[in-house]
Amino acid sequence: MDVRKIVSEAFLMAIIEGVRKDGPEKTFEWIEHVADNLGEKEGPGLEGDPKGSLNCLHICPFANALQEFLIKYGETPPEFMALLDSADRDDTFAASNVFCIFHHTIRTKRAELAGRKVYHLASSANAERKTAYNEKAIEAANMTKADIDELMEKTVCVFKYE
Amino acid sequence: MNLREAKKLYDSSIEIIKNNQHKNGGFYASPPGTRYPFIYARDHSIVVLGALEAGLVDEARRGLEFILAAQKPTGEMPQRCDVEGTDTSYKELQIDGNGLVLYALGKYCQKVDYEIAEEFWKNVELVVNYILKNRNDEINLVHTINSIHEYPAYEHGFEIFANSACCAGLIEAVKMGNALGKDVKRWDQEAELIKRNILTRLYNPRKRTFIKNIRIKEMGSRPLGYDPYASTVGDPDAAEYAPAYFELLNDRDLRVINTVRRIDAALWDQELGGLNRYPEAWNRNNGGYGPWPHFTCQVARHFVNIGDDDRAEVYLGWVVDIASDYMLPEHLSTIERFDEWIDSYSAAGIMRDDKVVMIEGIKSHPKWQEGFAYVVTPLIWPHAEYIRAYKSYEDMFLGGESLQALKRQATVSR
Repeated sequence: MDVRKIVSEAFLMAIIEGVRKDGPEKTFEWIEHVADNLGEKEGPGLEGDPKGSLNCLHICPFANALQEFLIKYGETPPEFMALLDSADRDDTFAASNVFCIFHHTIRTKRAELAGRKVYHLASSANAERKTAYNEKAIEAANMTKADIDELMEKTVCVFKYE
Repeated sequence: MNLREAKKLYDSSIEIIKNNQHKNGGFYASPPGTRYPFIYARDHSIVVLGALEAGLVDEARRGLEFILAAQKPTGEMPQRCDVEGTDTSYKELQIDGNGLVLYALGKYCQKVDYEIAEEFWKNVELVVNYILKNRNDEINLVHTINSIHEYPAYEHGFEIFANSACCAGLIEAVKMGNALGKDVKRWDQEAELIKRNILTRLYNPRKRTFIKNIRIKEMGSRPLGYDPYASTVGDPDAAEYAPAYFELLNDRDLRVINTVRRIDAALWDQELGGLNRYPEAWNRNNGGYGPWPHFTCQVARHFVNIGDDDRAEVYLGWVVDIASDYMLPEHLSTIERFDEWIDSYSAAGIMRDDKVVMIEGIKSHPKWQEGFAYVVTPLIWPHAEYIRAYKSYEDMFLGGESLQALKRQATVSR
């Protein structure tokens, strides 16, 4: 038994159970709370490979765990989609998969501890490589969707520190 | 060896170190605008040691203050950080950097004073505790994911460089604690335990050599024999010199002499000269397989320390010869090997975009026209190692100081 795999699967199952039991909003808050605590423990820090005024990730560190879960589960659970819809209503995220909510909250906490703000502009860490944009953040960064698309050809996640 | 050129490279190395320290205290791994414009705990600590050797005491102190202040809340030293000291790590734990910070701090204290250790004592405690949390109590070695080569395939487990660095760091922490009147008895016992296990578990008496790694996936596997990775890595690796590099053993210890003999025989590059870091067949040869000046300098110090002036001169002389405009690369290769690397990585589909910058740097270096691939020039780390090796060589073999040292040694022996 691969315990690390089981633990990450358990986290995703807990999300599904949370949405069923308490609804997407409450589950969203729970994920943010967990991520906030972890970010605090990790301490101040900045992520990604600097590309001009933006920072990028070439691979999503959570993608493998999600992919393995989806292979086992068979399809993207509707509870994940409900959560992503919640994230869409918030201008903080460019969430392309359910882990983005968790990951970007950690990133935000660590940036805050370092005295910085971070904006999530785009990500495409899902099986379809479909990009999720955060249009307000893109505008605030003085960028266009076309600029971001160019970057997204070679990365999976773009964010900006201020 | 051309002594005049050797001295010029020494002087240039001091300037390069000074010019690559940010005003906040961090030493860049390579200058801004090149491949590694960040502060890496491992490189930074060794540059502090080089600065100390060159008498750059203020620079060394600022470097130590910088890195100690960059410590994470868990006690871990960041794998790398920006010039503000903010963690920008992008790889998994590299625990040797934690040992190295303590080691460099201890060396500073011995040379200057213990005031900085007093000021940062809480940080020292945190690093020590962090290292000890990563010690496996079945084998009493520190668990590693990456080490000096940042290559988990060969370093995941209980790797020798990281364990030697951590052990030496603990020993320095004990010395600092004793000087400051702290209770460090437990640390002393832990350091002794780790040292004993490095000298037994990571040494192969049949082959009379230190080995690279005991490959173990999980720190908490018990018993270790059932861990899915359980195996040993016995290939020659320049890192196997670590027990003497970190002064856990004297260079004249026969175990060290035989280990270095094996490294020298297996890793000295027959075509280019200089010391390769590990066998070509490990096939992670970014920029083309070839020799590294900083490993060559490390082993040059061994030959100095055992009084082998011929081999010391071959090693140090090679570093002097390959310096380009008194700057040292990370490593060098041939055009043929460089092309072979590009072909193999491209065919396997693992060539990364960021390597394009490195490739452009290699091809635009003046040495490319002469048939050499110079990869990342200058890298600051080899300049620090060169300072340390050159000073040892000078003290041992050049001028009156060496004779006085020999006389002192003879007096002590009597």
